[in-house]
Amino acid sequence: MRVAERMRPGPPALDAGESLGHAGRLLARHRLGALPVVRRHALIGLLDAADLDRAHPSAATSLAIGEIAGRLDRVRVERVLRPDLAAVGRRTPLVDAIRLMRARHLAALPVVEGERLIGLLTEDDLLVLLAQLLDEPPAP
Amino acid sequence: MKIKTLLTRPAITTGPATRLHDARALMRRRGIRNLPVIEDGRLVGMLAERDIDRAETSSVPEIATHDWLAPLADLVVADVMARGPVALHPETPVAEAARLARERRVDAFAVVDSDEVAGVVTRSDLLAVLSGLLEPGDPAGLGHVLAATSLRPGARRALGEALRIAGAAGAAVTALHVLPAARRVAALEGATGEDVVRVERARRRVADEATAAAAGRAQDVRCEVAEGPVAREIARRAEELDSDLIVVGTETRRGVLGGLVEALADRLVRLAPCPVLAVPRSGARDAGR
Amino acid sequence: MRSSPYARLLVLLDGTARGERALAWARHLARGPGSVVHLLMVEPAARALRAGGRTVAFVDQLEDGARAAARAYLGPVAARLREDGVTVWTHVRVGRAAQIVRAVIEELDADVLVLTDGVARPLPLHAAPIPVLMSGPRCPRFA
Repeated sequence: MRVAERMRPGPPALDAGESLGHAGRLLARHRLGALPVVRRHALIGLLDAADLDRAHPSAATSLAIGEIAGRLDRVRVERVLRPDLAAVGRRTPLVDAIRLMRARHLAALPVVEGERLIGLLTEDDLLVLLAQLLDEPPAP
Repeated sequence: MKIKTLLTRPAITTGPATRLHDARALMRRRGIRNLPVIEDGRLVGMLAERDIDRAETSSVPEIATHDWLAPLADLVVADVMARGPVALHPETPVAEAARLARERRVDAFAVVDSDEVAGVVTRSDLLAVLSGLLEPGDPAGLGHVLAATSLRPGARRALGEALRIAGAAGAAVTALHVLPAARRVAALEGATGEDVVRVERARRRVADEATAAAAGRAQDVRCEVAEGPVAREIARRAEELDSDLIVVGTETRRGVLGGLVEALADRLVRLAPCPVLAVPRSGARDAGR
Repeated sequence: MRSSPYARLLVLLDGTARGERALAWARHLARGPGSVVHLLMVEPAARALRAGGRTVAFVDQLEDGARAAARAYLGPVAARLREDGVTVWTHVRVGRAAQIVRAVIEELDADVLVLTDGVARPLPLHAAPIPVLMSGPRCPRFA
């Protein structure tokens, strides 16, 4: 099996200039653990829910709850983006993609053609595949 | 497959009063990202590294400046852990765990057996199972073929087929003849002279069959004899030899009451650790080959 | 390249990921020039849909729909096999599986039938005129 068979084609992506607040809302809307980040259609990184956690004000912040959202809306995604980027091609064997995701603790893996983002392989979709492969045939 | 097979080490846990700083150090030392939280021997929460990330100082300087640093140093596990975490019994099927991980949007489950925390199963562990299921066999694919032979008609064709496939793939072949279990009485009394002769005769028969089938091919065939429930013995041997394919002849048999007996091949498919090739008896179809 | 022991393989698919496990074996056994993999999906014969005393959908409409869906499924599956250098033909039939599989085996002069245990067994093993390769619930290694 190859990545192309289980990836989500044409995935949602974040523009590098979007805010962290927008990123959080987009992650929640699509129920994803990570989103690809693009600059003019080229993939430049992956924003993880954990990146948002790290950016979040601490438990001992003096910011009022109402102020936190505003603050996060003023920070651009590219400021918290990690420098290393993992991506695969559509013909990459699925086992290799899984190995990469586990090694780098990635909730999703961008799929590219050249620099262009063409798909996203998500942990959730892989868990669906796992359940499918393990399910017993229906009782006669 | 049950999640208990994924538990590879004793549970590493923490307590609600542990300082966050120490909990994170524990995670880093052991290379884990999820800690069940135990109080009075019972599971009271789950601490994820992300919970600690969220509670600690922001990575963005202009947000971090608003922190009171002192209280951060005093934060303990109970302040940030997830309460009432999903706990799964060790007998939970892996497929069920995969479904729950998606539905409940969790990264890890505590595995609990009668109030005792046996360990943690993470999404990464589930992906490892998937990896194992997808792992392609070795490039040649076929390393060993187990041919189940018998004295029934059609068995030689099965052996021939096994040799043909193995020859094309450069695989090794073992011809296995399983003698249905001898009467229980004889087994209890230990091998009698009669049993030994029976087995020896079968061994020679298998060797003859293999030689006949292999005639003209430069192939080495190991011949073996086993006793016991046929499908189970074949499956067992396939497991031991790490076979990639089992080849067996099919036949129609009528049971004592006249109904069709479930074919060996059907029974075997359910037990076999690798695919089964069921070869029909030579019939009109072969006439032209 | 080693020649394959089988020239014409018939793979029965049912549209599930489990059923596709048979493909890895077909790919393996089809290695070598001259081998062809035939992918077959059999859709059950439809009965006209009636509601409120009127026929709401006719048999041919339902069957055309089922055929189209099966073809839509088989298309990408065949394409992936072809990317691996396998010669692939796809077939969609409507009717009773046992009859159809037997007929297709004759028609194509197939020399092996490949299926996964999850796929409904179209005919009892001992009644198959050709060897049948089946992967059961305990078989793990398929890509």
